Amino acid sequence: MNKKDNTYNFNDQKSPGIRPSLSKFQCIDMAIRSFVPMGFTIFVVLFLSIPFDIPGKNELLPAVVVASVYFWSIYRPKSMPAVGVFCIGFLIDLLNFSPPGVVIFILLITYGIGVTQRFRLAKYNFLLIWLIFAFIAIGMFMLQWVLTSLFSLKLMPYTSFLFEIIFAIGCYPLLSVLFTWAHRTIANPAKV
Amino acid sequence: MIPLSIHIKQGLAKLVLPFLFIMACLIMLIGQAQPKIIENVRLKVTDFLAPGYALIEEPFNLLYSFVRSIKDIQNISAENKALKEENLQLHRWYHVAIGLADENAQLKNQLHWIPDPVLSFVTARVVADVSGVYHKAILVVLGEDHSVHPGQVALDGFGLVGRVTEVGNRSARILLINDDSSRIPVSLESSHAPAIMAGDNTLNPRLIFFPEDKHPIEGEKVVTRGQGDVLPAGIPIGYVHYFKKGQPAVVPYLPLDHLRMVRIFNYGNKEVVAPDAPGRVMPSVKKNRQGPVASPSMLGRDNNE
Repeated sequence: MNKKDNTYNFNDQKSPGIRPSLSKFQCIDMAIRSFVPMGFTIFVVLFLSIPFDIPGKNELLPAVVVASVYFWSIYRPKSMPAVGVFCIGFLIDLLNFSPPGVVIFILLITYGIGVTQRFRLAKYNFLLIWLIFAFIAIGMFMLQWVLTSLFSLKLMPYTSFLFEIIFAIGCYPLLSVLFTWAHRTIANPAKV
Repeated sequence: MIPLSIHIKQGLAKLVLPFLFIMACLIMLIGQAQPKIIENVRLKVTDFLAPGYALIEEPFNLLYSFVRSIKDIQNISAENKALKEENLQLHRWYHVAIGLADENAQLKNQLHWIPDPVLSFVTARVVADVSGVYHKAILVVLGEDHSVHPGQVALDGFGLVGRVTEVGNRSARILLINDDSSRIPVSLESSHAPAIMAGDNTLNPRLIFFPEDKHPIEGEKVVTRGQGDVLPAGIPIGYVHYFKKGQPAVVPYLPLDHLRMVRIFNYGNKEVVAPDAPGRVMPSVKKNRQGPVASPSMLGRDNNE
């Protein structure tokens, strides 16, 4: 039996059979690998809060987070659990001093769409997934605009939300390349 | 752990997402009904993260300064020449300024001018840009025993940038003047017209409610007006610039998205209360007496009772 088959069986908890228990190191390795998607997203949230000269970073932050939640909810929801999505949304809400709960809400909807439709979505080719993501992004950021306007009791400037949509649609292919690579390598718990 | 059947486990797993949706709605409701609770949690989180931001920032600061020093080396001779010329000019201005300061002191002396109180301020580092998509604010890190309070005024090296809105143990949030909810009474230096500076989430706040016969002049200085006991008068903000015809905006001296240090001033309670003048007509504080009190003796009695 070659190495690849061995690793495959090793972590495939669904297949019956006796397998050696994991060593401590392997457990830690697996835990870290499955934390990569969440860790990346949290890092982006913190990094884009630092006052650097990154143009449009306030709009870039929700765009990247929504793209990340969408991708991982389709391809590996175990590494991006619903509770984790909730925590990321709450963190953004707490750091941003905007009406609380709005970002949690839009992230959970994105996650819900990704998770429930994942088997259908995963079969499609990249362009279609991107197109669906574009529609989701438009819907979500419009919802964010509506909710923020509602809670602030005035119409918010719409330029920000147009920027958000453009950033989200634009950065999805780039993030998708990065995430696909991570999905196969550093974020793959089965590679222990 | 309680042993559960596979069916129950699967059922529970399906309930997680709806449960979280309900939680999100609850948080939205709490945020509207009891903003104080969310505010406290926010301050705890930002207090906790304030040192962490510095940690993430530090390697990038090193990189920035390295790149900047390389750029400086590249144009060192041209810069040297320009600086020498500027230095000569500044020397001239220095002597003019000293002469004017002396003259000013003499004139004030002749007039028996009452000096303005010296203001106390603290300088703080901006650690995070906590602007959301629809809000503009920054977070500054303060020491453990700071004396910063909400309502104090934040200035950068040149002018007004915002006001302190929330204060935690180690950090404070400053709402910038370009936030959508910011409305500041200002006065224009050359045309002497009052106006309101309204933030609209862009870098340059708009000027609104200026008199119709006195339109702001391109390039004139904008200072605070000090109405409503919110801000002291005379703090410089920036200058007027027309980006579009008929829509004057204020351009701050330093761009508001590049803030690294701010000075937080304690203006104290500078509300000017007029002293009680004899014979001044005042409404009574007592409920059972109708009508105004019009004599100083009656006023005195009122206060004693």
